[in-house]
Amino acid sequence: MNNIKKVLFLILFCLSTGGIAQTIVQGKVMDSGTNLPVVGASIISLADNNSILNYTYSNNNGLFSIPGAENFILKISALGYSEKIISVVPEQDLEFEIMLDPQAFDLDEVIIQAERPIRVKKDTIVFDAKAFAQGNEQVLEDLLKKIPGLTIDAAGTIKVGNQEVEKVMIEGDDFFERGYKVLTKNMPAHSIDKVEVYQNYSNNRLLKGVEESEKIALNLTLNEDAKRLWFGNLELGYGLFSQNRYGVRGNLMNFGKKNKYYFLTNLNNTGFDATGDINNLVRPFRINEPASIGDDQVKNLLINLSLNTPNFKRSRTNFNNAELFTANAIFNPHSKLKIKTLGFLHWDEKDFFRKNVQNFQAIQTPFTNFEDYSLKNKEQTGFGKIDLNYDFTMSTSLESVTKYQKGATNGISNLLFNGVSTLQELETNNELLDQKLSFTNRFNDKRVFLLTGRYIEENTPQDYRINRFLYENLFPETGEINNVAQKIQSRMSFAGIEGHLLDRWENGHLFEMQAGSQYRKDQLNSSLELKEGENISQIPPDFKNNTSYASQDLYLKSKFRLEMGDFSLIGKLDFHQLFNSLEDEGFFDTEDPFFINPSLGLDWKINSKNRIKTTYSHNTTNAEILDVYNNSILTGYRSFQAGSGSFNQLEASTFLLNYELGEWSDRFFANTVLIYTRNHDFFSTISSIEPNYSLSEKVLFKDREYLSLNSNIERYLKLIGSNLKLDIGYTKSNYKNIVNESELRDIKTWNYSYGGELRSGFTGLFNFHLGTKWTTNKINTENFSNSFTNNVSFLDLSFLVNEHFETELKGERYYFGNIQEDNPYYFMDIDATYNIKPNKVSLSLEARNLFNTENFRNFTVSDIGSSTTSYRLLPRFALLKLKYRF
Amino acid sequence: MAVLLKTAIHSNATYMMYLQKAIFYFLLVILNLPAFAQDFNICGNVKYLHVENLATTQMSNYEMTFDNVQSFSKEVNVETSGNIEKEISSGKGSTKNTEIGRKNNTPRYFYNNKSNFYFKDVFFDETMVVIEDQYTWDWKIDKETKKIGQFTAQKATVNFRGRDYIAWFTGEIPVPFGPWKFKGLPGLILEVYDTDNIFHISATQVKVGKEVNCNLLIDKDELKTPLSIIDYLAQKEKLVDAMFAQISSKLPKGSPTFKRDKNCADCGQGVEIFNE
Repeated sequence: MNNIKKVLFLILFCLSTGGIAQTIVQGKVMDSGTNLPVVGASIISLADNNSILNYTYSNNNGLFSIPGAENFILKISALGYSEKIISVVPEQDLEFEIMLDPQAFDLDEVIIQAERPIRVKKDTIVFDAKAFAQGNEQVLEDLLKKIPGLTIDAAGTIKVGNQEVEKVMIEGDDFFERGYKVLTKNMPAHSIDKVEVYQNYSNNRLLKGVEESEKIALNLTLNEDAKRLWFGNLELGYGLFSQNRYGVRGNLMNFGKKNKYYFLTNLNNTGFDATGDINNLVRPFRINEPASIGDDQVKNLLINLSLNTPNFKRSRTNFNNAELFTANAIFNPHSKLKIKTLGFLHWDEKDFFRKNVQNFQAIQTPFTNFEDYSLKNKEQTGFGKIDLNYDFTMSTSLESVTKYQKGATNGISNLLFNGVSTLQELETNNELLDQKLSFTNRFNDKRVFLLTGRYIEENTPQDYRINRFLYENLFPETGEINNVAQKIQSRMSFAGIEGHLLDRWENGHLFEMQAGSQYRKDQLNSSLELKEGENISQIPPDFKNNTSYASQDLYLKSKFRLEMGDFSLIGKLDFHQLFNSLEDEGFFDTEDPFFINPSLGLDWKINSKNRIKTTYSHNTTNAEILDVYNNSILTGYRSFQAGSGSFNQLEASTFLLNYELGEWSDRFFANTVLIYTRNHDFFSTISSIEPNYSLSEKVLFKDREYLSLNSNIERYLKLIGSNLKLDIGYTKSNYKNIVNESELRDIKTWNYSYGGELRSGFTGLFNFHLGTKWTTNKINTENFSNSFTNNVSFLDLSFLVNEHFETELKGERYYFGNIQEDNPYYFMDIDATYNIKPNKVSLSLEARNLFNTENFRNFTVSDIGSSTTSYRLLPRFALLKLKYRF
Repeated sequence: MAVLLKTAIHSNATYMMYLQKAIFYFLLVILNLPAFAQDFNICGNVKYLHVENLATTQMSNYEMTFDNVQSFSKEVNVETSGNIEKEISSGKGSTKNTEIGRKNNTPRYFYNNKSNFYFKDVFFDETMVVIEDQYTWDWKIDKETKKIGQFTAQKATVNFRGRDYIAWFTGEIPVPFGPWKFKGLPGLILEVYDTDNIFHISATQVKVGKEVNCNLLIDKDELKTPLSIIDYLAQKEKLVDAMFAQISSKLPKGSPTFKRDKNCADCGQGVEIFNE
């Protein structure tokens, strides 16, 4: 096209001027020595002012032709010849014979220090949103799709190259972490000014380049009109053909350069756990990150009115009615100060139904218990968090995180126990205060020091009442007692301070050292009240605790990594000096054990296909409050548990071997993991079991073993475009306990599993995924053994009809080897979405439990017998949902 | 001729075929004879660094050998890389990132013999030899000059497959060659970049003279059945689809099918935008 245009232009030009005709200068370039043509000589025509008019190269016969002009100079040059300059007068000289003189042309190595444009700052790439926007972008995601190197898949996952981004920040601020899709799918695109990609991102800016980080984060800068924009989405769902099922979810946000706000609400009774939406916000997950002292401190409840469900989709048994509201804000009042606040309120009312037949076969006088259990749990939680970040200088900063939580759970369970009605009530309150201060000082490029302090106080009193007295055999002389109550006061205080040095050596290795002190004190008071009506008639002393357990841990932890070719060695060495004190009524004891926890790992990359990883570690752990209290506590309507009443440290050795053949993305891949653990000491129980109650006490036994071997093999079958997976597993373990004054019982358990899956990767509209797995469980003690095999299979079909319509069918089948009736179970769920206006309005259908299966029964065995439990399920429902972005 | 004989001996085709081929090649060689008739042949050697900033920065090194009539750029120091697997745990489970490494260490090359332009690409470990379209390089030569090393370089601009490029060439080395697919200026190209700075190539070392080994080391057999640009693009699409299918079928239960969004503007992540 261009050429035609040129020609036309030239023709027009000639016609219009009618003057100088376009001349063509022709010529031949030859070697003056040999008279042979010079091929590939450069011929340039230059104007008087030395600017290039035209240029060409001589052909295989040394011939050339070049457009002429009024007055010009021809410059002829070729490799190995001296340059020749000829002045041309067009009307006269139209043909030339140019002789070039050979001349040695030797250019010794010239090294060029190229200057490169400094647009790519180290680890940061900046894109100007305007340059990439085409004007038809609705939301942020549409804009990001246009940025070179960013890929956004159909689900909205953002990747840079192959790696998913860690978070999407707005002006350096973030609410969502990995939950960024809420933002990218709703924020209007036109409020974005620049998109920045941060590589090797660190959550603490001062750790950048020192800590190991492969994280990638996006940051968006805003233009001025952004702060007036409120945006978000609303999802409304209502049940069809079923009574009163609903689900509502709404997001509302506003982002300005300085202040940012985010509100979220979720209301549903479809079994969906609303707090799942905010887990990221409440407890941002920071594995292996410095300044995480105290993150491992947990406080377990003694009594839980069993909401445990089997290995099964939890939402199927969750009869809920949840309401969640959260408000979040970020303020930047000053360039050095950032304030981030988060608050949420959560209410939930959960119902749970279970029927259970428990056979106690492995004891001297076997018996069977029947239980019909229903529970109504009301939960309320309020949570607030304030994050303050202050940068003193470029190299020092202080972060403060304050959390406060208050919650109450009220459970009432209606129980038919062996045909007699029993009512339990449990009230649990929870109050938590958590304050962390962390100071970071970066000495230089390679070295950072963090000092972190943390204080946690958690209080969880529990109040438990049962309207029957089931323990006549335990308390023989009790007369008119007809109900029991138990009050538990449980308080935990934690204070810790830690210094952490990260030093990246010249050779690139990272050396880390942590030294600190952690102090934890647990206070546990409990008393069992045997009552006649409202009057307390007895408080048995053996069922009363007044325990105070404190443990101080002075520690020094170090970590190193050595690389030698295909081998790398990872070593850890932790030194702990503990100071424990245990106090109970009339009892006080202290001890100060010292121990070392070593761990050594070896990675060996044999070649590109074979890789072995091994780790050996020896661990000593200190006993916790629930291990050391002395007297019995009622932990369920028919179970009493007592701790060991003394200090304990448990020693364990673990060996892990992992062998990989091939790589995950290869057509063939196999992975085998072997884990062997030997618990040199472990907690078990001495228990006495009666139909109405069981009484157990923690004791320390020696030597428990656990062996697990797992292999999976994958093969991509190109012919059918599908991947075949085979999975086999073997687990063997043993432990010991004492039941009803038996000898020390040796219990062995085995678990075998094998199964396969086939998943298609078709690019068309249809895909399938099917799989099945058999699991065999076996248990063996001296006078009792049991085994059964279960099977679970699934079939998922997905149809992607077009960009407007997609649907997915999920089927499941469960078969339980030891259950005769109602076996097997089938489930079917359907999800369908119709995008009325893509990314703006969509209609979807969520259908659950289409076969309307009412109960789900499963079978378990333990060392004392077997039990069959059936759970009531949410009946069939179909939720029609409208989703609208505003 | 040595190359030709080798083909003839190892080929399983009929005698007639040999003969036709032989005549054809013989003719070609005769036509080319004058080029090699010089009693000396000066060659040059340039090392180029290619930098591609498609969010992640990729660098590769090329070494170009040229004489008066042809240039051959070959990728050097090709390192095979295994897949890089990273497992990142987060609150909602763990994410596995697999960066698919290059296991095929066959070097890429660009071969320009003035009448045709060939290149070899390695894509998802598959090697493809492609013959370029007869693309007209419509260079605009600017007056602006700058020093690159000891050379005086002049600016020229061109639009090539959707991007505007700026090249700096030197008339001091009068050959129409350059790195990557760039060619056709009145002097060797020492630096090229696009106006978005996504793609940047610079010469790091230049050597010209009798000392330079003129052996271009091209396997001419490979050039006999090159793919056309259209076939090449189709083949790339196929390879991407196949990779998506394979990865998608490996995903665990519950994870949605890994769909390829073909509507996105820069999914191919290539420097050239063929559909412009």
